[in-house]
Order: sequence, then C-alpha cells, then structure tokens
Amino acid sequence: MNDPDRRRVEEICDAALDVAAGERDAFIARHCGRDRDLQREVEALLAHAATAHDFLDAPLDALAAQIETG
Amino acid sequence: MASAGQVTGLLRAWSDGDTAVLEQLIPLVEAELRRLARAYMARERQGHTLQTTALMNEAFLRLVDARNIRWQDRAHFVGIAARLMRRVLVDHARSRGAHKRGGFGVKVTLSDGLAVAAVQPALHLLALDRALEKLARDDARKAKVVELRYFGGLSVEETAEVLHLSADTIKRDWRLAKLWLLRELDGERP
Repeated sequence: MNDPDRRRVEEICDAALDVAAGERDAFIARHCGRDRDLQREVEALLAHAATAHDFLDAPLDALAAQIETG
Repeated sequence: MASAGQVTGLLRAWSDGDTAVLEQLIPLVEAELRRLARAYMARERQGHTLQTTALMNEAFLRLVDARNIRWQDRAHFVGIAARLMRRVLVDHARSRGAHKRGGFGVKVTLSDGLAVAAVQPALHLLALDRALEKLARDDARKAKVVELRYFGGLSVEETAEVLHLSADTIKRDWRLAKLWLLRELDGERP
C-alpha cells in the first residue's frame, strides 16, 4: 500500500468535518475517487471525529487524574 | 529566584528577535515552573487539582514585571513555557512510575484512600507525549499548536500571535492535529 499524500488527506478531512455526519461517507467517496489508499487513510482519521471534538479541551483534570494514578 | 526585571528584559529582547537570549531565559522559566508544579502537586493531594493555565499565569506574574510588559510578550512567554511545562509534567509522570501503556479507565486515588473511577477516560500523559513526538516528526507546526494550546493554555488567537499565523490556520491545525493524535493513541491502546 502506498502512503497517500498527507496534504491531500488533510484537505479532504478538513472539508469533510464541515459536512453533516450523515453525508460524510458520500462526500469522502466522491473526493477520493478510485484511490482506495487515500479513502482508507481519510476514513481512519475521521473515525475519531466525534471524540476529537472535546479532546484536549479540558486539560488538567485528566492530567491531574493520571498523575495521581502514577 | 530570578528578578522580574531580568526576565522581563530577556523576554522583550527575545520577542524582538534576539534568539540568543533564550539560553538565559529557559533555565529561569523552567526552574520557576518546576517549583510551582511541586507546590501544586503537594496541594493537589489535599484535594486541589492542577491547572496548567493557573500555573502558567502564576509563573508569569512571579517572573515578569507586569508594568513593563507588552501584551504580545505574555504570548511569547507562554510560547517558551508551554514546552517547559510539558517537560515538567512528563518528568513528573515518569518519576511516579506511570509507564503503563494505554491509560484508559484510569482510577483516581483520593487522599482518604477512596478510589473513584475518573468520569472521563483519563488521557495518559506519557502516551500523549509519544503521540506528540510522532506528530512533530510528520508536521512540526501542528505539534507546536497542540503544545501551546494544551500545555500552555493559549487561546486560538494567542497561539496565532506566537506562531505568526492566522487564527483560521490555527483552528484548522488544531482540529486536524487532534485527529492524528487520536489515531496514534488508538493504535497504542492494548
């Protein structure tokens, strides 16, 4: 498998994040064309879109928790 | 401790483009962050939580003469301090022996011996640090954006000021960086 161009992957991901979740798959398919590697990479990143929304937004409660655990 | 005037002067020279002063500035800022972090950790055991933003503000107020500072210089201070803060916290986590991989479903132990499950899956600091290293190799700018925002507590606008980029670029970098990091962290999970 060839590593798809990172810039292209990000362009599609960035645009897809602004597309409603229900229409996202069709959007990705349309923009990746026949490039399966590109599509796989874009989908692997966007699989985290829902989690990413709040990720790293509440910095230190989580940090304090894990420091205490250490 | 370094005098406020000394740090203020170095900071001003640095944000005016004199990169040579960084060698003097970094140890002063790092020492203060370590000192403050230790104090916060001690309080944390009594039920206080550590807030990097608060720690950063306190370090700034202690080290910098606020009357003689330009508004941009605060952002530049955090520009240096975010990297040092990351180092301080990672060292701390490491010294506590927190080398477990993964880190989801971490438990928090309170001082009275009661163990409570963290409400959110706690992010493992060392795993995040590794994921950030990887991101820095692929895309140094995005890693820097994460460092400034997460470890420095900077807003989108302040991050834009430090990196001389538009706020739109920072917003885009931030949301894409989080996707790359999450994918990396997901791959690390046992």
